[in-house]
Amino acid sequence: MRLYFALGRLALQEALQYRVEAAIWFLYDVGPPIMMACVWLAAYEGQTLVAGYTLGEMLVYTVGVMVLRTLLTSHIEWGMDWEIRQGLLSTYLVRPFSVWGFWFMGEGAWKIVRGMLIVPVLLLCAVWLGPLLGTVQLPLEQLPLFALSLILAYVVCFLMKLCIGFIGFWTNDISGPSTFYEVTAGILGGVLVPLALLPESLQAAAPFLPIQAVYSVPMVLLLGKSDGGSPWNGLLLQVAWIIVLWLLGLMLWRAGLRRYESVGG
Amino acid sequence: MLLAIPRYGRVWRACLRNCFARELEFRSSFVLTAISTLFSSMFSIVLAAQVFANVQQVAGWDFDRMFILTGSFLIVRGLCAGLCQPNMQKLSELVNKGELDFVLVRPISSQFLVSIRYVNFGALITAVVGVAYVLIGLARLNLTPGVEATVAYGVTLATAFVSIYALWFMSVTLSLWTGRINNISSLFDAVVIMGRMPADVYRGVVGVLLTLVLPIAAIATLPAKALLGVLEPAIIPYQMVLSAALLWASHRFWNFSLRRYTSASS
Repeated sequence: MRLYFALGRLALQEALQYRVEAAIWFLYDVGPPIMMACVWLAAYEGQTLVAGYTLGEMLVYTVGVMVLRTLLTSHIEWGMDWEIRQGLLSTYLVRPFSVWGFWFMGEGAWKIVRGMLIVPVLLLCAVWLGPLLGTVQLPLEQLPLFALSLILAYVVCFLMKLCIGFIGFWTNDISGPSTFYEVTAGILGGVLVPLALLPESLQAAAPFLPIQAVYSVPMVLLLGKSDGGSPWNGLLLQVAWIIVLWLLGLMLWRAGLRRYESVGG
Repeated sequence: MLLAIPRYGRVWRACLRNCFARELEFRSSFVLTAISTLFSSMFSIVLAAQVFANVQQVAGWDFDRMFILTGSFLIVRGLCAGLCQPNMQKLSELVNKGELDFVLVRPISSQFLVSIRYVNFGALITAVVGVAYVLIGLARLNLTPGVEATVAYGVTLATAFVSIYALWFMSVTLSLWTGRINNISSLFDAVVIMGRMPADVYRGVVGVLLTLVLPIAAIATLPAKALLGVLEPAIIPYQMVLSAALLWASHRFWNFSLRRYTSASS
């Protein structure tokens, strides 16, 4: 375990070195939710409820998703694609550690830097939207479950991006699958608006996609919007997706390594 | 100056031919980019559909008008992604690798060459989808814009594109000052995406920042209003002057910043 903490420390040093890059990518995480907060402030001028959400709840969802996008969303697929294409993966394969563990620790380090960046934005949101956010009664008894769902959501997202990254074994460029993921996440994952706003047919389809387990499940738990179902259902869904994605990832990893070639110098 | 225009035109045509030949060489990559671009350009309208399925109107905009706004956004964004984005990305690489020398020694405006050298034809499909959305919006509203509104629409779209190019170029020119920042070409793009919603929703401090300081309103809201015939006429000459001023400022800033360029040779 000490080895992985050491790898994590190295990755943290690298992330701090590239803090300006991290800040620029961070804008993509906070920009769209701030846009949606402005939309909701204007939209609620003519009504008090939208899909069962009050303005305060909608803003909690929007700001909450902004935090989740920053802290949970993994971006390993781009680095993996680069490493596979350039043959750099070979340098990790010959070392005495798990490559998955190396990627996991590296991603965690970048999340720490992003976590530092979100603090001032959250303070600004508290000043800007504080009175409206304060009107929401959060179910405090569900906070431990919410905390657990965050950890599970992080693992789901990591494994999902790992599987997308493994596509790089078969293609020259993963931008196609990655765009497909981004759009699907945007529409069916509750990344910008709650799933309750979707037509019923699409709401029914959402549990069959792992994206819902990343953003929607934790936010629904935080707001206590389980629609009468047990709050544990969301956690079970997350665990199920972790198992499925883990097995899928193993399968792709083994098949991909059999195809993998790198040219030495 | 005017005599140089045909020469610059020939250079641009040569670059276009070269990029097109390159796209044909990597056909699968082109098709993949085109498909993913087509798919992602659906996102804006689906997002609007999600909101407007539950809300009648937002800051005076309904779903039919959102088609025109979203279409205008995609036209500007598609042109930026196809014509600007590859060049902005390449420019920061040229600076970081010290390869800008090969541009500076050529007998042509360096800003012109680094701005038009590459074209991503696959990304231009976004603009085509945008045109389709605008036409759908007009049909849903049963609206036939007159010559005046159409010209105003074209002018505001053009000024939006020029303003974004100038600001984007200035933000990437910062790489001559900041040293290696790999994703500096994404800095301005991260703000541009907020233009997909009506600028009327941005109020207070956020509104001042996103409409007066950064031209978010100019990207889609002003062109859409021009086509709908509800744009204050005085805004059009203001936008023309603003975009010309930004273009001039980008040129001055580029020339000023080039003094800091040290290349990467020993």
